[in-house]
Amino acid sequence: MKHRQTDPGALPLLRFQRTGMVLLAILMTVTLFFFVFALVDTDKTVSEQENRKLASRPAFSTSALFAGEYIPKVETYWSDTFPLRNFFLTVNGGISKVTSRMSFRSKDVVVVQNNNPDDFGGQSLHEVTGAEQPKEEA
Amino acid sequence: MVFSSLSFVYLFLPVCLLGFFLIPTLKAKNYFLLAMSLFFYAWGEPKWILVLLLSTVVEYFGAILVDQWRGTTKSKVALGVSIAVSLSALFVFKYIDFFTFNIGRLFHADWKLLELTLPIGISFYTFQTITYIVDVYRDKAPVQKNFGYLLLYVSMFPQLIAGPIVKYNDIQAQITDRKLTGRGVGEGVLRFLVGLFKKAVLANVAGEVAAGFLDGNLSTLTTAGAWIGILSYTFQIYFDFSAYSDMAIGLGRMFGFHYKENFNYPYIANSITDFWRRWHISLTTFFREYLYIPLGGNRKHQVFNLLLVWLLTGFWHGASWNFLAWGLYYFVLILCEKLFLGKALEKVPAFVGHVYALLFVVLGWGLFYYDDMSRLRQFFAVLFGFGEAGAAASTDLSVLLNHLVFFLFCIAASLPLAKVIREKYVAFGRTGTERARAADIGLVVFAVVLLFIDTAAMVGSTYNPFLYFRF
Repeated sequence: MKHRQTDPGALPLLRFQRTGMVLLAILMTVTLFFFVFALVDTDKTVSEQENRKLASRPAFSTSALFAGEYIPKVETYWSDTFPLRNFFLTVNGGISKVTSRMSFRSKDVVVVQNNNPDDFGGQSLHEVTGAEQPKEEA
Repeated sequence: MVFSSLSFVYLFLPVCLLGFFLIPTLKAKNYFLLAMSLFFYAWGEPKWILVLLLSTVVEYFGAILVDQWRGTTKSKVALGVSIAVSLSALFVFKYIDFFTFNIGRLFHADWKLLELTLPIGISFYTFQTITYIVDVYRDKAPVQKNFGYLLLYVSMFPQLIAGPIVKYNDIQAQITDRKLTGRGVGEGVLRFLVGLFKKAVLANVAGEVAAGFLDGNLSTLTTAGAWIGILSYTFQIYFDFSAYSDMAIGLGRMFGFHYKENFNYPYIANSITDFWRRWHISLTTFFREYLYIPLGGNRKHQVFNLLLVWLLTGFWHGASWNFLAWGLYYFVLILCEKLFLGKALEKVPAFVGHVYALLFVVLGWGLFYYDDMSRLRQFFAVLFGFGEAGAAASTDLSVLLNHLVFFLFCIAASLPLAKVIREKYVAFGRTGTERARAADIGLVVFAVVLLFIDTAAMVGSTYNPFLYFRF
């Protein structure tokens, strides 16, 4: 096919129409698969990794909806019971190691295993947090 | 609903894509998109979706009257009233408390504030409805008699929450006349996944570093920490905002729409004027076409026009003094460049312009970050070496070193390397059929890897451990 434009930035990135359809098919299949899987599998109730109870399916009520309480609960429930959640958390830990040299990040918390120096890119917990060195327990 | 959430990617999107691509006709596809967009909006804003609907109804009838009375004063009145109604909604929800509080302070009164929550996207869709009625008034676009199509334009979920501000004139023909091609849809998928990566990985990590320095106790913040914090924020805001535009443009393309670019590698700008040709392009375009030029542009009282536009640009970002200051800050810089600085920059080596632009942009982000004026003052004192905590601490260096690879990647991602790589990749694919096939397969693999990383990052952001402390 002749291209009227010579600007390489204007040429389409994909060479074949079929590639685009494959990309769409992949996105649709993967997202649909997880969507259906999430709906049909039995929800986990506890996360050992996070030491907490996972959200359960929230009860619907119009008052909760208009008060802005229902939807956030649905979002928490959806992410808490996401298929292969623990696997993805582990993968994210790996990504975190590359971006910040820390195994797990969240807004306020870093998980430490036995105050392992590798968890903080070579520093100890108190160096990172500035907190006082905890007293050694007998 | 936030694009970079599991609810969007794995709950909303599969249903939306399945429905859209199964539906045979464009008209039905459009109505489906409208339904999904309204659902998307209601998901985040179940109450105030009414404001969106009412705003659209006002502009719908307003435009019909503007067109009916075309050429008469009544047409102008219809235009003015419709715009005033839409802007009043924006004013009440976003700005009324600012004025109540500050005017009250002036009279030493303690007036009650409404404290209304801001309906999501109101700053964006208000401007979009304005472009519609003004484009009709200027005869640049025909009246949209189909209310559903107008509502689709206003509420289209890819750009409803965080832009880009799509001018009606740019999109109106595409509503009823657009082609869905394999390549177009595929490029949309890639664009969306890249945007998701920028947000879920780059912006979020940069944001955590920034918050670590900027949100804490400013009397313990060192000068080095302040600079690392604000530089991290510089990355965060760019990747966050441009990622949203990437995802919006990508999603738009999946449904056959071509949106204009909203960012053009702003951090390689060689002047502040250049920066604003590259940053949030749809907003500056809006203010130029719908305010600056109608006021007289550079023909009549240019300085006043510039001042008003920049104050409003700042104020649009938030109802607080620091945003006004931020707008004023850029007004001064741009005026200086127009008067003498621009010419001076042409005479010096290019890197001087780049350093100058970056420095003032970064300082500008400091103004943008703090809406608490006392914290703002304290932050700038620390930034320029007048803080209590001194120049640097060992933790500053640790954070920097821990994120070294990350920051280097951010710098690379802020340069137009992707453009160069894309051009080379496209050129490679055009050297033969086998290479073309390999290039396309490479893109598919790239997309799968991105989706995997993006998903892990989204799950990771919901990581919410509970620690039990023993006292």
